[in-house]
Amino acid sequence: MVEIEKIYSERAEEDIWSSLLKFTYTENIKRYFEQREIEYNNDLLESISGSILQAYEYFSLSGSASLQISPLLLYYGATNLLYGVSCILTGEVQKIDNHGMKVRLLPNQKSIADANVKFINSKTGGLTTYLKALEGLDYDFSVVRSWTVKETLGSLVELFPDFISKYGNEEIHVIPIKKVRSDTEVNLRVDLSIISLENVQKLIERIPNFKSNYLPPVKNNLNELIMRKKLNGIDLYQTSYTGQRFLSVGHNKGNTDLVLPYYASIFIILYSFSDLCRYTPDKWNPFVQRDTTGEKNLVEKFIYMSRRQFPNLMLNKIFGKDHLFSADIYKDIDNRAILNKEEVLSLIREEVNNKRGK
Amino acid sequence: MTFRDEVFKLCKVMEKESITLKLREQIIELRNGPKSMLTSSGINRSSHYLGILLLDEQVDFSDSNIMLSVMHKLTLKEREMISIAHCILINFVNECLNSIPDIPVNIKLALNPYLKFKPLNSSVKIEIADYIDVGIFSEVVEAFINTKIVGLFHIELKKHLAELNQINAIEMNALLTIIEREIDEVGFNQIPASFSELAQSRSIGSPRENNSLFAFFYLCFCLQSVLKVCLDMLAMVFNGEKMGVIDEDSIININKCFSNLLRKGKEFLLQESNKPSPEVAKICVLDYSIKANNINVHEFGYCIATTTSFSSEYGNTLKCKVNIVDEDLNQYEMLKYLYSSI
Repeated sequence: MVEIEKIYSERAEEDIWSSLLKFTYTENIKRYFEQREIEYNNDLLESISGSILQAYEYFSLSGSASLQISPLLLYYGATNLLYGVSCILTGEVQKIDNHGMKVRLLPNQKSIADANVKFINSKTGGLTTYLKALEGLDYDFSVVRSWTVKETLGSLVELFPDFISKYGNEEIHVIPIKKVRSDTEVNLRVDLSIISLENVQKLIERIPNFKSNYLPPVKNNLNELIMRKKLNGIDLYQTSYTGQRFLSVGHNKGNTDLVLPYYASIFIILYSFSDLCRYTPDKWNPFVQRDTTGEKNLVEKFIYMSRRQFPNLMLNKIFGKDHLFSADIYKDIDNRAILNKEEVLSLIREEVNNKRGK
Repeated sequence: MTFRDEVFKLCKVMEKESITLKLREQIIELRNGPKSMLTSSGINRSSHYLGILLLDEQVDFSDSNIMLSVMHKLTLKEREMISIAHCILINFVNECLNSIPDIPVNIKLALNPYLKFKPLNSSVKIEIADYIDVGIFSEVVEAFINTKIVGLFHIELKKHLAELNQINAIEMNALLTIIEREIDEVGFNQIPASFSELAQSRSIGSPRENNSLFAFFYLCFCLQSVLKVCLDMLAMVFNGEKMGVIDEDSIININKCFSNLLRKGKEFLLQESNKPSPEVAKICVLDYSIKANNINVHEFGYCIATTTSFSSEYGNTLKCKVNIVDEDLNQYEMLKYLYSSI
């Protein structure tokens, strides 16, 4: 289970950046490396400091920009931030030659989300380099023949209700869940009034390692599907900055169910939107000015969510734990025993038994 | 091989016996036919086939009882088959008890788990040798006589012969039933106060009265419960029931895991799996590990209670309480506190 650090905050975005901007001071970066016994040089320190400062500028500017350029600014911010974090985590200056992907919206594709993303399997491509640096893994995108913006949007839990209402449930790649504690167990539940049982069962099949970590899901009388972790199972769910729990579903490519890290999904969408607004204004401008389908509303929500969440995810990566910014952190500790029904009955039995014995 | 291993081996041998296959066929037919009420009401957790035979006799006098009036009486053939099953079980108990040297008749009778039930009106005349090899129980009986609990019983029996001669089998069996009721009433993870006092009185240097006769009755109770477990296992074979499995494919939570003067107990919250679920008054296997604590469990439990929840907020779940049984098939721990020799 990932450690969670709760931080009191009334302005989460500013406080996240305040933490990230510490890495723009070279003395702070030196201290970080020295604590972890990582060697560094001046180029590395300047690369980190510069990329994070630029990221901050882009993110800040995107907040006051319209949808005409806000995706572009956010993508530049995100790629700079990923670059800086990659340098911090590897202790090496990263060599990047290209974005690591290309995007294409065909003339007959009316929806922005239909844009197709092509991954470039290059050692110096942005996406693959960042994934290698942050996850320690070589992602093999050679199996990916087709990848759409829509399916990537479908993997973001914060957009789930809007996604379903706009695009239906064909390309869902996330299952929103709630975590329920009882006296005797902790379980995860899916609301079947939002996703049908049939759909959830299909999605679960594509969650890597689900069967080895969870008991077979069962339905309850509240039209929910209950998922219980096995005795030695590990938690596969993640938690959004909103507190919403979710399970990521694999994108079925070839024979593999590929699950990308959450930040990578956001990064891919930001790249796609930035490319579309930068290089295909003939498509982007009418979308921004005259969209009647409601897709723009979803894209705006995505932009807002990315600005809040992406830096948070990067901060989590740097320190290897989740940072939860909330104004609802400091509470008194109440150590009074709260007994469940079984424990109360047990105490009564014990007392009666003692009395009988006297 | 331990006694437990021998009993499992016997069950495997019995499974293949032609009489077992016939009995199983008969029992399944009764359970699924119009006499299902008789068989399901008759088989309670400790009377096995005797319960069906007793109930069948009651059907004769069914005028005043609505439930009995709607039951169908067994045919002669059906009654004969159920009687065979009952006699095989009785034969097993007798062979085990007869193997204990110098055991007085009243004690032997009292230890018979079926003594607490009403006797049958019509005597059952079944020649066991017509249905099974008479030597089929010999290895189990040999293992039984070599168990720690029987060894201890034999030693203690000699010490109390004079007192025991004054009690008849029915009275003694009633005492064992009282011990059972004390345990049942106190709750799963509790100890009857009288038991705690007994254990204290038996500790070396205790100023309290050394209540060795009460301790002996407790020993008899444990021995009788060992025989009951064996009978339950043999009945499972005749009924064609599989042993319940509690493993990582069914465990939702281990609600309790404790060890006290009386027993080692575990309470599980289970979800259905493709393996048989544990059932009350039946032995089950516990097979799981807790990797975080480096714990590997492979043991047998005797299921004493289950609570099933259907279609609730938590779906279908089964809460199950088990006593861990040792290699003598004994599910009670207190002997080691009462007798230093075990």
